[in-house]
Amino acid sequence: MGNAFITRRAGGGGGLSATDALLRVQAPAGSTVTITKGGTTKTDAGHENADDHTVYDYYFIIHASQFDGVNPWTVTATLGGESASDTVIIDSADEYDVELSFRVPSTYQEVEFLESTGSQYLVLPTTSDLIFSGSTKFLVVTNVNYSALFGSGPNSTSTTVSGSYGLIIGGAGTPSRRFQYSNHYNTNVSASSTGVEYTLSFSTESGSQSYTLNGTTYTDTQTGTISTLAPYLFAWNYNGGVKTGELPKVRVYNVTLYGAGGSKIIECVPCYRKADSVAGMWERVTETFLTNDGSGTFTVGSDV
Amino acid sequence: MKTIYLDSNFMCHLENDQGRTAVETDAFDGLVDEAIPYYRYIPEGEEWTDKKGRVIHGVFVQATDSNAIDRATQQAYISDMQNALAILGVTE
Repeated sequence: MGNAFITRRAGGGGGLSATDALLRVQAPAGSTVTITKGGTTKTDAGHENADDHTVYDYYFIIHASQFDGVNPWTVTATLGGESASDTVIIDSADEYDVELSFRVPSTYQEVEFLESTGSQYLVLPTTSDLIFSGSTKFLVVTNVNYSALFGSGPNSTSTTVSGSYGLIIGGAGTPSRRFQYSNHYNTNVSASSTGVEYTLSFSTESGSQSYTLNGTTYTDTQTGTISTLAPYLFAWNYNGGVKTGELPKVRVYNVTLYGAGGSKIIECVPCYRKADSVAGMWERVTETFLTNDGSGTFTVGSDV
Repeated sequence: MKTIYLDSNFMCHLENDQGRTAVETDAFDGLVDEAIPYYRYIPEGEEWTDKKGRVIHGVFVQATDSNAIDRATQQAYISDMQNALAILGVTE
């Protein structure tokens, strides 16, 4: 919550009175933001820094005569052919916030994270490119031995064979947490702590593994090859299957994977589908909504 | 499987009270009880309209305050550890 928001309310600037509501819309800088309800339309547009991908606050004053406890305002932001929209009911002289981003289509609601309870997983899109690097942010809710955040391999029982790649976060095995690439993995990585947010980036493109976790970098020799078998997310793909006892209880905020030369292969954004509230990941490269291939229901974080 | 109690906004509670509905679910298995009140749980076949006027369909599980959930979880782990040490006769 920025100071500008509070100052403007307190000072009554811009024609705001004590009986008005103030709507703040957070959208990418440079967007044209429009709010509509019935025959009423208000627009705020322009603002600088359209190219720096910052988020800008767009303000709208709603007078008391326009309060409505039933019919929502539709809030839409457009920029460069992309658009995002949401709705908000404004029924009192209060302050309202709407955040819009273009990371998911307007028929989906982006959320802070997607969390598994030990029985959910996603099948990521099949790709003809090998995965060489990537990044993710996650938090282990409860430790599950041998569980994987993501991964894939040609063997139906083992993760430590040639052709495998992925991130093991479970608390058993040697080492208990490792980034597996072909038949090599780091040997000096400690176990994941529960309740701690981890930011991981990894690269295998330079001929060795480079694995950075919360600022600490581990390296290992990279040899062998990996398959193009698509990794699972919230699970390890054991040549087309999963081990149900090894599915993690983990919170995932984002996952991005790259091929040779840094070409983006997969970018997952946590969200749920507005029409039926089904939770999943919006995969931005293939523009695909990935839903649970396991059982039960993913837990979602707060709306973004 | 746990029994939780839902208020009119489908927020979870550990105790029953007037107007609350008892529901059995495995959605919170493995979770410490202290974290459960920070979740919204909409059972299958139920609907809830959020403050944006959007209808949310069950089954839907949402962490409404992840920081509070993490604090409750950590505190429970610490308490468990202290209890285990006390059983072993280890005191501060």
